[in-house]
Amino acid sequence: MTRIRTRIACVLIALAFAIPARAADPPPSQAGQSPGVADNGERAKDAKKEPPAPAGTPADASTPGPPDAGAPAAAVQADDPDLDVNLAQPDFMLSALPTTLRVPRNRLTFRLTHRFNSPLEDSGIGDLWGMDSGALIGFEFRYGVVPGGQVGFYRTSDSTIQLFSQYDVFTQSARMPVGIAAFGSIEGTDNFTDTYSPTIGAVISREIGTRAAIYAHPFWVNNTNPEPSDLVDDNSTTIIGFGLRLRVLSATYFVVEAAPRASGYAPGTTHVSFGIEQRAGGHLFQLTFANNQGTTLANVARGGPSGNNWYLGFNLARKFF
Amino acid sequence: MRPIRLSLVALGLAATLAGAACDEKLSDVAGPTPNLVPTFSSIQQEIFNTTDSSGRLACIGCHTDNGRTPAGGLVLLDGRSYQALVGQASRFKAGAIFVVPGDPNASYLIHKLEGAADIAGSRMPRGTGPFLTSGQMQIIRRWIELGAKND
Repeated sequence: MTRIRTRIACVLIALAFAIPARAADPPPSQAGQSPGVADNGERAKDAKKEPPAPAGTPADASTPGPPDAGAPAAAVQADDPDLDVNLAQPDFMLSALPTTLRVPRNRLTFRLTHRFNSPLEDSGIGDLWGMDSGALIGFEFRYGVVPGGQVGFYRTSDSTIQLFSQYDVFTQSARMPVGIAAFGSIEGTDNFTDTYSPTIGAVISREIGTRAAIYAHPFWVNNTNPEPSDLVDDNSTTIIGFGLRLRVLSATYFVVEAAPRASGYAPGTTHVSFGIEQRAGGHLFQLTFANNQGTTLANVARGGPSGNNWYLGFNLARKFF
Repeated sequence: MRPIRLSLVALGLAATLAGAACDEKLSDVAGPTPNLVPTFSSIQQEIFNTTDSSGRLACIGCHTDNGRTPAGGLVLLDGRSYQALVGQASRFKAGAIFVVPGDPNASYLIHKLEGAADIAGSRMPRGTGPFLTSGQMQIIRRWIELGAKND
């Protein structure tokens, strides 16, 4: 297969989810969400609020206007529940594994990742626990295409580009105990010109009130083995990731995730990461400790180097809404 | 359910396409013999019979009984090389078997081609090189690992 056809075929996996079979309805009020909770100036979900007016509906002339009778009636904006803060799931990612948080339609988010190069065992206060040794950096943009559907672009400083998409298939509700999102991605090294590794799978979440969310990530990652499939027994990896985000203070969270390899190519050690994060307005700052530097899914599937190596890192996230 | 089913079908199709399309090229590993694959017939054609683009000499230049005494008593011509190698002992190193199916590390053919420390005589091909590349060796090893079939 020529290189161009190869790239087109690999990109299809990401686009397959960018055009969903239906437009999802806005999710119902999150189970256990405390109404009227306001936190750090952001809107919080209010289970008692009025249903949103349809998009584009003009103000009803019979409705009493605001006290300033001279001002023209403003068009009523549709209220998108995805704009609200989800206290159990404040972000789209744990550390390197996704959550089921929906990106509001036509909204953008940004994330910066750092994994310092020197493991903690080889560093100390003199080099600020690896900060002086440089870092593997990544930046990500994520966009809400349709209600419940998002696409994204992530590039790391080793020139790996990951394109991904996610679609909210089921949202947790009184009748549905978990949220499930279909996930697909494709990453390519050397600025997406070499070594492509697609991923398909699901993100399964269970919110526990407004205090916590737990996750499972059954993912199949293809072409994790750098050798051709003709020369190896396993060319792909199946991981069953799991994670927890626990709100320990009003806007402070503890996060942990791991990605055990259920089958396939499994070098090194299982990816494990834990950290603490603080949410402030539309920002999230997360300090992480991981046993590898991987932030793309193929690297997560390949795990970390053998031995007891832990890397300091941080993630910065910003919602532009 | 239909919209969900359509999404799952799209997922399955995308996975199939992606799985078929995203693999490292064996030809990139095979170096000067881009058509080399881990089958015996390919090894016969690309390694034993052919002087490749790096200048590595074909094995049958010396390992033939056509008009000469085969080097080391080993004939690597088409139709005779498999029987001469698989499960066969070397005449010059006691206990060494040229090809041990399933075990490339124990196969004397690999030792001779890689110039291992324990070989009797010279590394193959004889001379100062060029020798087989690491990629070519990887493919030959894979053939042995898969059972050294006469395929």
